[in-house]
Amino acid sequence: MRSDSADCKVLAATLLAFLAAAVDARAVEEGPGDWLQKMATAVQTTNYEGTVIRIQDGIAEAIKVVHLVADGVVRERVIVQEGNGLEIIRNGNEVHCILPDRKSVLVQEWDDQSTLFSTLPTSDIQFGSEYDVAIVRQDRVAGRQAVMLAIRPHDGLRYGHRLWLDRETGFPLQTNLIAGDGEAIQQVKFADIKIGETIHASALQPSTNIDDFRWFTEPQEGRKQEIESDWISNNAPSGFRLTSTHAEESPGMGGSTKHMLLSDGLANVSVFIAPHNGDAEVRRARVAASNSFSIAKGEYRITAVGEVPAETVEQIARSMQPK
Amino acid sequence: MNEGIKMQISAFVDGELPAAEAQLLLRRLSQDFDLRQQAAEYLALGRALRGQRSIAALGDLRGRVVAAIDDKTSEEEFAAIEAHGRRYLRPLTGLAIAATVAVAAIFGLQQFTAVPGAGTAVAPAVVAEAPASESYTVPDIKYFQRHSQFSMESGFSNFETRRVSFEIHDDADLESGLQEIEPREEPGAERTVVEDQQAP
Repeated sequence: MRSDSADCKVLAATLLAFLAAAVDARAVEEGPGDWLQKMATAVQTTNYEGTVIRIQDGIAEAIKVVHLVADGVVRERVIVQEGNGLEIIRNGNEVHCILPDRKSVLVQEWDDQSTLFSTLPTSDIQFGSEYDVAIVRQDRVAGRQAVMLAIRPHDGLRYGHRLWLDRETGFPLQTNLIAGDGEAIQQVKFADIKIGETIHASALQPSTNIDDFRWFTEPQEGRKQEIESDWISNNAPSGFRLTSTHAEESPGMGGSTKHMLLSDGLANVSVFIAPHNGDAEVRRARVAASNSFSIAKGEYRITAVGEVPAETVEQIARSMQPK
Repeated sequence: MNEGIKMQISAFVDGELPAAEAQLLLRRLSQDFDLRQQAAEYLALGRALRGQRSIAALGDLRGRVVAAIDDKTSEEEFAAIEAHGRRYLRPLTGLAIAATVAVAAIFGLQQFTAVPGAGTAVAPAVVAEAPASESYTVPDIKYFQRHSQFSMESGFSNFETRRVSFEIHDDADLESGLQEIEPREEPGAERTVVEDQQAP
């Protein structure tokens, strides 16, 4: 004969299994668009503190992050734990970048909501023609239950994304940028994280004494004006459309430069058209997952830059023609 | 990554892994991209938890790599990485080069390029493993910055681009291209009198 205690255990186990199944079903029922919306809200409103492991080109580094939003103002401290110990302290739009080995502080203005997660896709993106988005599976990251989303491009001319979103809050616990061969070319993953807990004021103070540091800022941005484009891409990869064109006069940009922004809804590519200085060399460069390709055409140098594969910036730069 | 590999890597860092096993480990790391990523993550996390910015006794570790591979090319590769930082990383061809590059990547390239007391502790995170058929150039960072800034205004931006822009400044003379200003109040300073914030 079964005891009451045993019956209770069976009942409790059944109830727990039912609740877990209900939560899993809810995670799937909500749909990928709902999760992206949830993620966008979480990134803008969540207070968190943790250690991020960032891997790029097989090189890993640990970054300590403290992020606090109060009265709509973002306060943040990001410390790269290795190398020169770059430290970023943010209060709203004002950002102090502390370079301890140079005993210098660089002051900048940033407009976005998060230092780490500013390249995440948003729910506003129109998926379908160039990308598919799907919930892949339930997973576990940094000790928390996560829902894994995959954003898969239809061709090799743009990157895919894998997102592990905290099931409770939608916060991105891990993001991978995926190349055409399926390899993760960039990974940002929380090794540990505290979400929604009290953050002490001291956690947002610089870790270095900067009393005798020199302070710098960048020169004022040059004039920028929206113009009608007199250049056109005649062979951009499918889905890339011109979203804006500006004329810019910025220091170091070599006179007046046209800046065109092309987007497929998720990936952005800038095309800069500047007066040609006589250098006919073809230039390829890469910064993290961003590629650039620069080529001389007549009196101009065309430079395409974006978070897309090298072939894509090359195809776009080569496709630019005067109207 | 299984516990056995973790133990092997830890033993290698500590100089306790027999030479034959060390060579096998390096060979495996040089051939397995996923394993390198996992090992890098494991070691970076360990350093972060211990509050270390660099590996202790790095010279010994470098010596162990050279000894395990038993190839002078490895020493030359380390010297080149020291001189050129991440710009130097090459396709992984040949065990000596492959293992050296893999180890430099896994244990943190900056560990090998750091020169105590020098101003250029970190090489810019720029070009890595360029295909042999293509020549990469040092990026014209102003275009990356403008793209990042403009994308940011459109709702996108790139942490790495910003970071590299600091390191480019760091690499060059800060006084050129930047404007020196009076020290400002640290953004966090006023918070010393603010109550600790309770999460919503």
